[in-house]
Amino acid sequence: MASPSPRRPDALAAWGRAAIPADLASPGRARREQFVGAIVRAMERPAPRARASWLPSMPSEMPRLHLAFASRVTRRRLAATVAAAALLLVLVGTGFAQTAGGAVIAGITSLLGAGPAESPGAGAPGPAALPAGAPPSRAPTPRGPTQLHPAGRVETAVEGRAYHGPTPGKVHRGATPAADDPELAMQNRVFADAMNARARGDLGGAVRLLDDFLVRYPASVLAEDAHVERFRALAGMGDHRGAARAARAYLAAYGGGFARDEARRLAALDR
Amino acid sequence: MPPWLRLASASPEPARAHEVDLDDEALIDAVERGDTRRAHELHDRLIAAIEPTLYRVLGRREPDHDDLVQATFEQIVLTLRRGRFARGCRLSTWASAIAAHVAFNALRARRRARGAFETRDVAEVIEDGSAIDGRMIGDTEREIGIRARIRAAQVHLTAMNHDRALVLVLHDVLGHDLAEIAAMLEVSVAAAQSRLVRGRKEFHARVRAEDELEEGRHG
Repeated sequence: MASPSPRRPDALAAWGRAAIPADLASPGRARREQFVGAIVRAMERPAPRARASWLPSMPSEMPRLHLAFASRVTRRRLAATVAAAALLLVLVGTGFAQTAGGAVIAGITSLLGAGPAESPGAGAPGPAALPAGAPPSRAPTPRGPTQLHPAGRVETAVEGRAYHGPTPGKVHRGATPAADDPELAMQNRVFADAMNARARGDLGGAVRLLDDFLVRYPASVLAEDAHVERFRALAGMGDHRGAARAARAYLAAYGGGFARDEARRLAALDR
Repeated sequence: MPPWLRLASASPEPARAHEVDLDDEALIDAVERGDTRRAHELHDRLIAAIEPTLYRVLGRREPDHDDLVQATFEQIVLTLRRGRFARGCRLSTWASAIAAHVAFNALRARRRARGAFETRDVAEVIEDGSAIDGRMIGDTEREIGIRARIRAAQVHLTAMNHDRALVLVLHDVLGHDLAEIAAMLEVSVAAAQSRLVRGRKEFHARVRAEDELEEGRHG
């Protein structure tokens, strides 16, 4: 049983329906030059350095927290603090290994009944054990947490840029908000599968998955999007009659929905 | 009388809704290289997405409207030059999200300047009839009521968690779908959905609390 999702608030629906002047999109020549000037100035500034991807981004509205120290925290200082902490750990670790560490490790090894030959690293040849001139291992190296994006893109935290190739299977980031709720996770998976099918150009598959989604989760917060994507996919397949029917079904369920204008156009095509 | 636009679907071409146009690719590459000869083209490509978004989110043409348009363009150029646009959606769609972000921050800044931090201020704030352009809605009694509700919605949204409020604006006000919002904000569809659900719940709770407060005042 799908859990009921909150409907679109009436005030926001009214806000979305409000008209805006059409001449906004055609500014005068002077305004155009003013904006182009701003673009040129921004382009002429020295190219900003890409942020090191391992550094967390600082919230843009940090001073809003009204913490005395918040506005003084910068990424540079954060980086320096992290580096100092890492150095301290290395120093402490080295000291430990040179003094008590060896004795402790030997004790643990003897307790486990493993001889020196069985200790970690002793059995398998390490880099030093490789013959001179041997090629380095080609085993894939971990590149940081991976995130699945819509449209089959995968982004790694280390690279910071999107990879636009085919998705190598399903990859999920650790704790997503939906992970706590199996129902929500399943909804997301079916909907994402439909979107992936559409992105691959498999519109028929997308329609089938969306049909399945709507039968299983008619009260989902994604149901409106599923209806919209369904009539768009049908229209994309050239099934205008089916698209019109789906658009009318959407209008019946979501008369004030975000895609009502598009649905009305499609519904009118079949009359 | 000037012509008026109604909100249209954000992605009229479903098959291409989540792809960057080839022309977009060339333009983005030019901006990344700092090729100022393409500045006019960038302006002409994006202005039709930026201005209506600013107008709709703010509810009227503010005195600093042109400053906000400039700020949006600057943000777009800086982000492109950093190579931070993942190209998961069309450039104009993404520009609309940046404009919404800029407008939303402007709303929040004004709210902070007013010192309106509690729901008790909502009633006072929505009395400001000029805050929403009357031409957007109309001037009959019912329409004035709608303007007040939009104004109240602005106040509630600026008090909410920023990420959730932004997704609410993008989905429920500007009409983008969840997959598109996920691509714009470079988050997963699940994260966008979660923000939408939580945002709506928070919004409804704030409206209920305000209604109860109003009833307490009058009853």
